[in-house]
Amino acid sequence: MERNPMRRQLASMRKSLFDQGYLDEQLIQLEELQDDANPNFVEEVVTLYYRDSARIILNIEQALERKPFDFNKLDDYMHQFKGSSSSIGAKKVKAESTMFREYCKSGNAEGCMRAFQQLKKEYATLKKKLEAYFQLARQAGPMETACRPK
Amino acid sequence: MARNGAHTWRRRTDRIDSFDLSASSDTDEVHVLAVDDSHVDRKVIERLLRISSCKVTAVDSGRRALQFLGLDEEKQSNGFDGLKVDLIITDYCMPGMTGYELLKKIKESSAFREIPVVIMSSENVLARIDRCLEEGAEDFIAKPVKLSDVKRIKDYMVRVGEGERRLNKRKLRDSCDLSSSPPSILSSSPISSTSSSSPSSIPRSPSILPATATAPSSPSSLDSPTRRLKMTSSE
Repeated sequence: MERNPMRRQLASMRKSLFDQGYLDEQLIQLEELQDDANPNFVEEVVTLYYRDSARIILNIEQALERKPFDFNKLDDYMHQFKGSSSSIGAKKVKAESTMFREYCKSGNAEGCMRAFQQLKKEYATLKKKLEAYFQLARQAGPMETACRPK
Repeated sequence: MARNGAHTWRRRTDRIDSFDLSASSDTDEVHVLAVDDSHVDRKVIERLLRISSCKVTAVDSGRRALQFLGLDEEKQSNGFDGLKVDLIITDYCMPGMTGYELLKKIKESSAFREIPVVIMSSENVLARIDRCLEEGAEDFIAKPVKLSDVKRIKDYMVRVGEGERRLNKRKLRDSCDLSSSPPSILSSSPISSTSSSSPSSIPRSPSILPATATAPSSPSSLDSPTRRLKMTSSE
């Protein structure tokens, strides 16, 4: 059957997402909320996350065009962004958010801009990986969620 | 899973009870009002609660929460309509009205102050936690919220809620037809799946799990919320 190789590939994709620190325990929490009646819960949440967070990123981008920076506002936006990222287990993205907030708190404009660029990179990378993962999951059939990476 | 046990237990007590609750609360399920401005978090908390056998109403602001409760207009709800809220779980940081402000409004209301309120926050500032608990919050959950957090809240809240419903009924009916006293029902609860202590302490005993005494001294005797805050987490 073709599904087995796909499932193996899916499992290995999943494992590397965790091993490489893209995702943390919180995503496993979300997976545990999936069942036959809600088989796509994780994908739904992640889709919602990317929709919502895109808006926040845009807000930040616009705020970074206004000089001097309103660090409070920037920190506010990033607080929201970090919260959502944390809720889906986006570990690296969350770490970059923290960096950005540190620079906000110390009023470091250069640092903010650097951190934001880095954050956007991680954000985009995770998005691509998750899209590939969910696509494969759909092809492979019902997901094997019992295996924990560690 | 213990949630099934909780559900069964509640049904059992409703049968023991001589009052007909079917008119006032349309189901045995615990009804939770969840408040969070983040769409992602609302979706997650809603799912966490549903999977824990709770009915959920999720709103995106303190304002809407008050409206839902009927506190915004001067509608005096006696708590016995079909939309009775058994627990309010709210995010702390929200634009407009914070979770803390919402908490205060609820505790200031004679109709709703008995409803347990749980605060969620990603920022585990001890002063903030203390402030919320002092204002009457039942518990404080560190975000991101996990299934075990919801389960814990629900387990002790069911006991609290049952006790209070009995108290309310007693007040309302103005008679003491209740042959079974609330404390004994509560303490004979088979829900000891959590390591909950003091089943006979009814409202406002947020401290549940035996705590490792790592929390710095706080005015309230609550170690468990801070312990759960994962302050030493790898975050």
